[in-house]
Amino acid sequence: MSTIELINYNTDGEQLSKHQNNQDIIEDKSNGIIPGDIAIWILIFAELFEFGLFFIIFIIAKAHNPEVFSEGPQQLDTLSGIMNTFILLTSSFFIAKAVQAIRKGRVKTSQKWIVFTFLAGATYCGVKAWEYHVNDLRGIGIETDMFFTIYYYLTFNHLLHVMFGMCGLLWVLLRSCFNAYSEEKHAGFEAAACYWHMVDLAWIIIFPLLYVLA
Amino acid sequence: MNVKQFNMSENKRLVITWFSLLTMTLISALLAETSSINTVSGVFVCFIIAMKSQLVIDHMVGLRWAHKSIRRVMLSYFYILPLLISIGIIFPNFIVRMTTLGG
Repeated sequence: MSTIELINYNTDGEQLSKHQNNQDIIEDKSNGIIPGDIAIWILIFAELFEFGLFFIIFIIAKAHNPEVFSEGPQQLDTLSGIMNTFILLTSSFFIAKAVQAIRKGRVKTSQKWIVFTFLAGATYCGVKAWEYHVNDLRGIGIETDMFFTIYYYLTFNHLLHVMFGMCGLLWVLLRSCFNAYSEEKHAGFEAAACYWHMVDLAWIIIFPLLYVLA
Repeated sequence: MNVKQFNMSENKRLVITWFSLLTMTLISALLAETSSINTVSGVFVCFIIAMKSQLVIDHMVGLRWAHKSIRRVMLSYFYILPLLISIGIIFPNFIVRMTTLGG
């Protein structure tokens, strides 16, 4: 039986990945590869749709209650928001490095970057818990006003997605320890990375919406 | 530009992307801390959202060299939402009129 080998290169001419018998990835010849698999992209689009609905609700609620939505961000701890943005952007860099490593067959290096990403996620959760604690000390709660109702819904929902992403990273790390991923076969690895990037992308909108645009 | 981009190693590109993202975040934060957000700075912050999203989508996720349809959908999402936020900043009364029942 003959073997079909598919090699993926970037614009630098560097080899990104190599796949045998097309088991690892789905490729549309006219469009290129799909990172991870199609299932993770359906999940990502569904998650972004959910976030999108709440961004639209935020825009409408802000237009109807300009005073409340102008005062709200000024009561928040902006430093926590900036720190969490830095942490998530750095975690995206870490997971991109992990994917880069596994595509080159460097399993140990990819595991190291996954651990860094997981630690960044844990730090994000710690900063978010601290922010909620500070809000509580200031007497701010979910029922303070409409701004804080949406703030708590959006940020807690995002926090849950970060935790879900961390579970995915742990699963990938565990599987990687049992040699489930290699230079040729790493679709599950890429899928977890894509999900993590989605969590970061959602925060890229949440941060200015809640902390900057007063 | 294409030649420069072509010669750039994958690693260097990731580092530059990460650094650019942090810089853009700092610019947004500085705007929030140093002055009250007006229409122009608000729209500028929305532009930064779109720029940051494109950097992540293209260079971190790596969709620039992947399936075109997925990239198009992702980019559309992160262009349309900042645009909607901008409309909310520039024309809040229009949003109110459009979303008021029986007005």
